[in-house]
Amino acid sequence: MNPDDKLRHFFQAQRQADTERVPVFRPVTHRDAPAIAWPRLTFAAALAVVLITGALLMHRLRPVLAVDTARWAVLSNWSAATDTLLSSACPTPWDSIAGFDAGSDTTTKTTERSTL
Amino acid sequence: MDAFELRTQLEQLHPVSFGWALSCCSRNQMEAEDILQMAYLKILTGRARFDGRAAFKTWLFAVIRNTAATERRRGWLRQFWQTSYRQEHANDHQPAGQGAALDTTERQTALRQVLARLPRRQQEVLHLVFYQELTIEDAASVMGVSVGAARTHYERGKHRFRALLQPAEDWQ
Repeated sequence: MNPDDKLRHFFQAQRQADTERVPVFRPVTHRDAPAIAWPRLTFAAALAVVLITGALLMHRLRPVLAVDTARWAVLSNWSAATDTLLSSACPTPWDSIAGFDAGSDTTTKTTERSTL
Repeated sequence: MDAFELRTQLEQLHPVSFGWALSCCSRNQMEAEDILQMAYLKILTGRARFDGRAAFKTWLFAVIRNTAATERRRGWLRQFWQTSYRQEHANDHQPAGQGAALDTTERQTALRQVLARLPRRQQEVLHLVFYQELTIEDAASVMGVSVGAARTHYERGKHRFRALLQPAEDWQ
């Protein structure tokens, strides 16, 4: 028996066996829903619930940075104890140079700050 | 071709279509039934239209093959979803591979195992030629390949089948 005959016999026997288990021809519209529909939908719904719950929990548990406004207000009024040294009215060697006012701003600002 | 004629044709070809669907689904009866119904649905709802360029049987087989290929691409996901369903409905359907139990001889089982080791294209062309008794030209049309490619798959399939069969020649 050559391989073609073997194949032919094999397939004919298979065909014979298959005819015994051919499902009844049914109109498509009468067929049940595909087997995968419910598990898929159930899983998708469960996944959505888990994701939403997780997102809500994470949102709730996220630490909130409280702004301590009173503390910031106190800090803004703070001035160093040595500020008074900067506001001394002692003449500097460069005061005599006309038009040189580099230090005047500093002195003014320091004076303003110390008065606050 | 009107709806009534389509249904009549489908009904007439139903047994051989089922055989082809089985072949496209690695002999898994449950999947084959699903694929067949999906293909019928495509045809009856007009998503697949017969244009008369090929024989109706050839065209129908191509639709079944394409449907099976699409489902196979989703295979990993599908397998995951169906696991629980199959466990629940184990008694309702034949499980995968139980077709072997219907064979009366061990030879059939051995040959089936040998055939399952061939590449898919080779299995397809051998099934179409020997089981469905199509010509290689029609088989090529079903498979969506050129006649030359189908002939190559056919020859290689037979050659490989022979080579794989050689060690198990005791069934002869």
